[in-house]
Amino acid sequence: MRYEVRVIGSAGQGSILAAVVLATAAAEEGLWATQTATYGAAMRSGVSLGDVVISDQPIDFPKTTNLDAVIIQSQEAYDDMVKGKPVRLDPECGEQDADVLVNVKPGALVIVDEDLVQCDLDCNMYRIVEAPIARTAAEVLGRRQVMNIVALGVFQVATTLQFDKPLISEESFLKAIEKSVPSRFIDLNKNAFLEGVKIGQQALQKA
Amino acid sequence: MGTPIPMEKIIEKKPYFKYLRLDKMPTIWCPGCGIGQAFRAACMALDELGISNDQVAMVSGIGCSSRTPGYFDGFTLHTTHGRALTFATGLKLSKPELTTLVFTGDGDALAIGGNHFIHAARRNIDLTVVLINNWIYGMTGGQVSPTTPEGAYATTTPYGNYEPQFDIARVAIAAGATYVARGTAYHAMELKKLIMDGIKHKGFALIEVLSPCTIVYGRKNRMSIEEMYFWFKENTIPVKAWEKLPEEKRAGKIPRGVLYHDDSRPEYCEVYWNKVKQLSGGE
Amino acid sequence: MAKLELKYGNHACAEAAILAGCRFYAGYPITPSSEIAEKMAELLPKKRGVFIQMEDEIAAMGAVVGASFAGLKSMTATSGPGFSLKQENLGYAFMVEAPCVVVNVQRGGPSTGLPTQPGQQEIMQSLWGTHGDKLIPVFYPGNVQEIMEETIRAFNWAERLRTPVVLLLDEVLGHMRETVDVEQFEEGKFEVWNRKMPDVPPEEYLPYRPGEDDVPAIAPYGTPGYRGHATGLHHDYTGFPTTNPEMCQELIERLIRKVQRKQPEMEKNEFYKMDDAEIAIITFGTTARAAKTAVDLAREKGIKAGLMRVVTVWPSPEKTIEDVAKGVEAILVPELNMGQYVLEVERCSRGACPVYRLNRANGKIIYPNEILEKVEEIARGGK
Repeated sequence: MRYEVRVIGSAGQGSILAAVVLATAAAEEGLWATQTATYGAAMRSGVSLGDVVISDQPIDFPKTTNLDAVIIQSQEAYDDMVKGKPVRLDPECGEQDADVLVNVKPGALVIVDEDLVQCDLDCNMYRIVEAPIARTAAEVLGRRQVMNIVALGVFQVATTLQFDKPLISEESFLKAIEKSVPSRFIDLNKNAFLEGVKIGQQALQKA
Repeated sequence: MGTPIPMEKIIEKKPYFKYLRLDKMPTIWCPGCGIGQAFRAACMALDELGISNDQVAMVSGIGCSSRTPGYFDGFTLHTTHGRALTFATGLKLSKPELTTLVFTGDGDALAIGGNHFIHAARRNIDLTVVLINNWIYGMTGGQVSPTTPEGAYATTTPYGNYEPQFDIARVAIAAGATYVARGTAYHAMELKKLIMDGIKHKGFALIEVLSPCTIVYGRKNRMSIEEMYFWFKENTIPVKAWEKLPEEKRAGKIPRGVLYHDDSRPEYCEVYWNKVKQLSGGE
Repeated sequence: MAKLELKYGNHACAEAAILAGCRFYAGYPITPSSEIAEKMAELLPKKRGVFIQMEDEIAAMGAVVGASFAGLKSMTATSGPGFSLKQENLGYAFMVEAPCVVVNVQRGGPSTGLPTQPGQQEIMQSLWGTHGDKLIPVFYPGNVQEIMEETIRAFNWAERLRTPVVLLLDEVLGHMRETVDVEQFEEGKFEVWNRKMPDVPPEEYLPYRPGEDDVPAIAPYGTPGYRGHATGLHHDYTGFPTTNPEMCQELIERLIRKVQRKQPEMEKNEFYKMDDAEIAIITFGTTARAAKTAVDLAREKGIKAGLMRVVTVWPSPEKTIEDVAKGVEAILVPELNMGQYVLEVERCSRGACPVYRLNRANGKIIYPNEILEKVEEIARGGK
């Protein structure tokens, strides 16, 4: 089993931290993982991403080539993932046209923020989960900054669309949060993750 | 030749001989060179302070003065050009109990090693640096150095030197050295005292030793061995006397003695190891 | 069951150094290796070790050798431009036989190059970077687990042979987080070697008299009675300079021989599907990970490819490469440079089979499909 995930968003949305927590959770689960990031200009502006490869055995190629899941946190990140011009911005596209994501497998899990991202994907091609991620972070937790961890909660539940049970357990994620964030933010982030699980479940019921 | 005098007899008379690797003699230094004076002064200083051979490390870079450690019977390291202070920093920080002397020259310490010189001074690490200033690159055959006087001849200044001189003591003080002294190869006993105080001082100690390069500099600038030593006698004066001189009479006169001494600043190794003590929970 | 923990490549290197007994680190900030220094700054004072950030790369290498003479296991880490600056004192460390480990997290070069992107451009420099002749061990791990193993191994060989050892990483390895099975790094589960001490009384002590293994037993500076001299000049057994031609020749021959004779013991490679391979890929580090995937992809297409991943880059696994060359129809050497290790492979294979190259020096890693394409091309009989 080789499972590739990308967390992508605008700089400052914590995409890399989310990827680190995800990879740590995989390790807690007893799975092998690699986590790579893009450095350079993207660290301060524009789009930033963290990639994770998860496997039940040691991993050969550490970077992603064909994603099984992608968590998209902002519109510019979405546009960045789309092959060519997004249909939203292309006057020549009609209602029936759909976006195609680069380096993403057919059948892949696509998690998007329903308020921040206009998503024009073909729902027969991808398993799309739309949830109010940033809104939950802001309104329920009082901190928009934890939207990345809310998104991980959604992801945790949503992997049931691809596997019989979640790829990584809630417990492993909670342990990973303890290991990855400063101690004074642990409770906040754990709550963020659990709220993410909740809205993830609701989104799956809707779908 | 008669029978050699037994070592014990020599050491009885000249106790500093115990620091010498006599089997490595004669030295490579030219007749009249002042490095031997500085080396002897350092050995005498160590002897008077009662520091045994096993308690001393001597580190050097490249150049005539940097050959000194080879003749010193202690823990000695003859390193790369300009870098002596970096090796000495690693050694001293790891073994603070070793009295660590650095022998260097004007080219070694101030040209290629200038960066290390100012940073070792800034850290105030407990090294005693004996800097032989002979105004020239002797070992490579007489090229101009950062301390060559203006107008002087060197193989690379065939029309006279047109670069200004570094004032070593002022550089060291500005960089943060806490003991700065200047002696000469002519004033041998005074030099011993200066080095002794430098060793005793806890912090970065610089002793600049004005020393004649008799063969290379002397020949290029038409000065005999005697003239060079005499020059030091005539043109340097004790710093106390120098301070009393009116400004206009100071020109051309070089002050000797302790130019700067500050015991208030903490020493680097002490600061570091205290920090370690705190962090690792006691001893 | 494996005890998995996610570790950051550069941090894993620092942690493993501590496990190996490293108690002195001197460094200078440079991307992408700075995280090693940062981790050492955090860990060493708590282990009663020394961390110092020096004024430049040259100074860091000097301080490391100074500390090594004081008896501490010492290390520095850098990247391309800094590695160039360290060469002089690295040569000195080789000449005076100061054990130390120099980590080079390779980025794209030459010059300032591509600071945040990977390269494999110091394969040759790590051996030939200093002036004069030299042979030192150079290890190149391929994943974060192996970064830890190889860091410990680097210290062990450095101490045993009294030599600098270069540990090559690349930006991808240094800046990657990966699961590590930490069980093998629990206390007592890995070997730690220490340098030998003189076994003669002080009056018979000659610091540079080699033992039967060609390695001298130099006492740490400050050991009462065991005073000595070290110099970068050619020297005799006392450590004092000499220009005696026989002695000078013997010194250089011994310095090279002491490493070369341990080559069989030091050699480390990973072989993947090489048993029936017709096309062998020989490479290292991050590129080898792409190559391994490419081997699987090629086999799916019916091409019998295999991988030899070199971990001990120097001393060269000459004989092994020759044997591989004799057993296959072609060799491909993909590497993130304009063709360095391929020269060694060509030399060692002695014309037994054609050797092809796949080179890149633009900061982008080589992906599995790119190696696959090349392998397919070779299989079709093209080049």
